[in-house]
Amino acid sequence: MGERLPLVIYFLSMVNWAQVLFNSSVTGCIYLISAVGLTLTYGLSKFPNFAHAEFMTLGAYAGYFLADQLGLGFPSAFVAAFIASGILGALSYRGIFQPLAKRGASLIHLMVAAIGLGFVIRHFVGELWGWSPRSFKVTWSAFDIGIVRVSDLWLWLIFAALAMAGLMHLLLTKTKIGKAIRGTSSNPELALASGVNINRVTLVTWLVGAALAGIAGLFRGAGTRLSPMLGWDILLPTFAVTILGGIGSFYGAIAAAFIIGLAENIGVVFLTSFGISTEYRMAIAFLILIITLILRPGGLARMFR
Amino acid sequence: MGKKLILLFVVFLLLLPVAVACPAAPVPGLPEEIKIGCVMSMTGALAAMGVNMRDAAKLAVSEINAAGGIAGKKVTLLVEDDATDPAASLLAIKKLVEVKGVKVIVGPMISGAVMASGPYVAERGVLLLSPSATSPKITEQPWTHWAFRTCPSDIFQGAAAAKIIIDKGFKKVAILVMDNPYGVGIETVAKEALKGKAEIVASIRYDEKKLDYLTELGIIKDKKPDAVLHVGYHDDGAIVYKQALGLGLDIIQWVAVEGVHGMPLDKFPEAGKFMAKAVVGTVPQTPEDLPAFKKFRDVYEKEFKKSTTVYCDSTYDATKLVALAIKEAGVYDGAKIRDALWKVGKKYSGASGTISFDEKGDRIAASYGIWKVELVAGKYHFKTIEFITLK
Repeated sequence: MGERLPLVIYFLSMVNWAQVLFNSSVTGCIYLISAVGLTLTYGLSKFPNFAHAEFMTLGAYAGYFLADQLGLGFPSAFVAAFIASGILGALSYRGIFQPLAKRGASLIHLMVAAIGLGFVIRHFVGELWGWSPRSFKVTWSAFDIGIVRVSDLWLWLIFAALAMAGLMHLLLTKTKIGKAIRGTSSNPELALASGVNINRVTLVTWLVGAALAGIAGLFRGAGTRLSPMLGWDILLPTFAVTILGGIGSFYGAIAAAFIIGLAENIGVVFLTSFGISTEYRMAIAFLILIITLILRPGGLARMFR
Repeated sequence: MGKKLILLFVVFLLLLPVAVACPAAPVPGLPEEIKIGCVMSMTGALAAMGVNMRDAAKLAVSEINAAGGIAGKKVTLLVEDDATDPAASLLAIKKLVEVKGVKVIVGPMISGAVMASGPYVAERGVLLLSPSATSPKITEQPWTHWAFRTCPSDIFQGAAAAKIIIDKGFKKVAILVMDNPYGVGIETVAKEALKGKAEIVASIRYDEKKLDYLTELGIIKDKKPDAVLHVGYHDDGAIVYKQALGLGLDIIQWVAVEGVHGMPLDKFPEAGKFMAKAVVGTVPQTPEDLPAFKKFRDVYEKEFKKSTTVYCDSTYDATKLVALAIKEAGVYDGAKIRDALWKVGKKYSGASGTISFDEKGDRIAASYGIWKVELVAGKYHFKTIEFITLK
């Protein structure tokens, strides 16, 4: 190791850090859009929804169907992903999770039901569109801004994430339904006593959360490829973001998404400079997660209240 | 405690018949139905390639049966999916061996799968003959004589890729490989071959399942190499090229190997665009004027209404060689078939050229095609531009 150190320092000095930061925000933005839905539905329904992965997958394929297979152009994919996943989320809640919860299902029951639902959707997508990967026929134009290489897809992604964060912030703080979501999340009995229609609030949250997952899936699909495993592949980091941010906390998730994105990308740089496979990038993200949880068991959420 | 003992005893009793049944001596002579296992990717990253290879094996079996089978006995090909995944592959092989009683298998496809299955097949006395697992690491294993190959080891291919880089006079090389026995195998050989001839400015191993390589590619960009040596499969390769195109890495020369050859480029237009502009690669390929290859290709194309792709010829040869070895052995027994395979695998002239096995079950000598991607009439396709032979 001693001889390698100067080499490592040389290596690190050669890296375009502006690009690494930019890549981190690209990674972070996808995690953010997908984690918001997961964290909000957890806040209200109090169980980890593993089918969230497939909400992403379905959104990506719905977008692919409209944009590529029907040839309506890429912007139509956003509408399709948002609506298809949103409806799927709302239906899942109404048809599966709400009835289960009413019959006294525990956390484990709900979790297993969610895993089962995820399998059903994943295989449904696999049978409908095939198991081999597909790719959007759109070619993204890439260009340099200073020393950072960007593509219009990545800029759209960052714009979408910022817009989503802004809108969600306004929704949660300024509107009646948003206040009801926050109220129900922190104290359901009190919210109920204050006349909040908990069922409606929860349904809206599932709808919006799943719709956002669909958008995240679409971006992931457009940036890489479509496959029935698309959502499952990024569910783990999405959970990491949710937990690091403090489960149920929207603002915690924003910070956590960028921390995990940064950890993964800086991780790649360090791993490479030591000649280690970049497979371990997620391990670095999880290391940060574990350390944070030891120091702050509630995640980052407390810092944002 | 007493209950536990009784339970253990019952389990022992249940297992007894299995233990007694297992070491059954090979029945002299051949069974009425001769089973040949075939483990290929029907799904997974190399599904496009695996389906074509399975068809080559099917073709060989139907030809064998049409010619009267093996010593008059009918041959059945039992196909299982390896999903381009080592664990799935081992499960598929276990199913063939334990449930169907198969003693010889054409496959699995990838090196990682052979590495995962080797100890198991050696223990059970089952012979693998892979048409496409190319990692040099397989040769170093204690069970290597249970894993034969009709494809050349990447000791040749790593050298062939390095030769392209050296011949073109590139001095600064970045290496980007999948972190699996196949990728690391070529990386090791190529590094050795490039030593003293070119400087290696970055050497990156990536996770072929992560499917997001922006930062890895960003590092390569910062190192400003003249050439990139890349080892990937179809799925990850398509994303590496798509993102490399986005980062503007199409202005440097990429040298790839056969793992990305035959990628369905109509599905990945951006990868096609990038490859047409920046990538050349190697692929184990039989010179097309070889009569045995021509004959195989024509029959295959007629039968399946599609062109042959990489390793179809070596799959066809593997299946035919297995049949010859079973006939030579005269019994359906893994070890005997293997010993017979050494006998019949001497200067065997197959569709993929002359096949001779060394004492480790590896193929001696190899010929490679150097390919590039061309855009003809709006469609990207792979074209071989020259052949090299290595010994």
